[in-house]
Amino acid sequence: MNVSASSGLCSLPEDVAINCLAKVSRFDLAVLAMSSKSHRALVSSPKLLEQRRRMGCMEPCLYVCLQISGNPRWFVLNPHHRRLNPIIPWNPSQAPELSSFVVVDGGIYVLGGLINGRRTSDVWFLDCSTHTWNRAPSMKKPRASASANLIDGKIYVCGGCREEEAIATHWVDVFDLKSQTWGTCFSPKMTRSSFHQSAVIEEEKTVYAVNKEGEGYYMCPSKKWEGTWGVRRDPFSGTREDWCATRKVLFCRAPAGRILWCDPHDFHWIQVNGVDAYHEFRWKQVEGLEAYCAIQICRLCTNSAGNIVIFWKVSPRLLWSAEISLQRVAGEIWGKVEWSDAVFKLDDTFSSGFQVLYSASVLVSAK
Amino acid sequence: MENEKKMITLKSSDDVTFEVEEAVVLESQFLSHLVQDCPAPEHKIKEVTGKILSKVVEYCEKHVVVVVDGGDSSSSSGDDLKKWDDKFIKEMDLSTVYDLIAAANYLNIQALLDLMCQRVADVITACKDHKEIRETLGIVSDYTAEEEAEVLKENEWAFD
Repeated sequence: MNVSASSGLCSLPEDVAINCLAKVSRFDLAVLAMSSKSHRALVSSPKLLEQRRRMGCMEPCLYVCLQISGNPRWFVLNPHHRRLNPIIPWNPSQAPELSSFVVVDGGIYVLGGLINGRRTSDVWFLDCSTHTWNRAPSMKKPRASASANLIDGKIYVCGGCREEEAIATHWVDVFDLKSQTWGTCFSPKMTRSSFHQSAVIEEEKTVYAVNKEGEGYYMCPSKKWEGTWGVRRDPFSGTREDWCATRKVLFCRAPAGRILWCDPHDFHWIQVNGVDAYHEFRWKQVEGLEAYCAIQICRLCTNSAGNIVIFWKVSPRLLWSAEISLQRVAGEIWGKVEWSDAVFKLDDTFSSGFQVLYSASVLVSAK
Repeated sequence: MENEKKMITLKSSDDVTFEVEEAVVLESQFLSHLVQDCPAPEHKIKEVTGKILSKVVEYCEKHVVVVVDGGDSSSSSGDDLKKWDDKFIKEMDLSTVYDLIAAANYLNIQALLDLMCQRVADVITACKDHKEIRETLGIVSDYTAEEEAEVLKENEWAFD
């Protein structure tokens, strides 16, 4: 019984040591693995994974894809330090632009995109628990800027193919996550032009979408519903980006740093109120300029807490982020900035800047 | 006679004795069986030192009172107990924590084991990098410089 701190964790019975580590986050486990070989072995022991799986350890992690010098690079937001940390390895085969992304439990699918100006049908899966890349079965058609949404374990990919290939039977491809196979889907009546934005209201198992002309569409595969949505066109649809949904409400970003929301049933966008600290930030950052100069949000997404996460560039090399919690009060939605911080600074070795291609919260479980 | 509490004596590996109520002993699965199977007035626990056994007894005494007086508003509530637990672990150095984990595991006191494991988890979580973890947990690195660089790269995603 002479356990000293120096022999510590590794001297405990394995089951007990695992009991301790099962309560530690995956970020801290990775840091612990750095301390010595025996701790690394303990962290990667199958028993620990089994224990974490049994406890249902699911950690929400925010993943971000940046395009740096023309190449897509993935990062994960460290929740303690609020910094984007690179994940390795990179996938040299990932299309550098116009891919579609779909989050599932444990990872992210990257579908299609443009490689050297040509559409690809490639599909990749980033396994977020192991940070490994796996090739998934290719789509039936090459697509870029397609809309891709997950409903009931199936990914529905719409549009984004070449004009002459956009025939009714190929407009929507469906990927079954369980069987890992592609199939086609109904939807002959739907518009053939690509969707500009789309999002799923999970509670309704319905995709809401808008095309470049501002016409709203919905589809609910389980009920074979599809049709037009909204009483009128949205003339500003082209300026509303990054549609996402939480709590049965759609959100998007708009010019001048605005965050908008809309009830999916009336398709009428309204500004989120009261994001005061964020407004202060806008002023603070433009000190010295006489005119009011709004920041531009370059990416918006929801996270597992049902909050909105936004990203904006303060300079061509510096990326800031903020998390905004939401409250619905009598027909209005009020936002509150929970935190904001500089999350990424591009290394001086890169001559050109960067772009935020994608961000999403992924539930990562022990695998 | 019924109201008189049955007392049991526990003796540590270094012969420190503790006289405790039977209810306190029953917090430990291991001791419950021991007391039932062997109705001697004194039990020697060879695997646990007096220093650690005193902590175990302190914890069990606190927790058994709450269970017995559970419905009584004057006794410790869940919140009070949690505060007591927090204080209990805060005052403890890590080497004692490890010893208590081993003891709680041996004596099969699940709540104490969980509390102590959580303490270790919290200590790890509070460290900002692997160097601080080494320092705090007293770990000596056995990586070569090359290995360390490689593992560091592999785990870069988790760092500041």
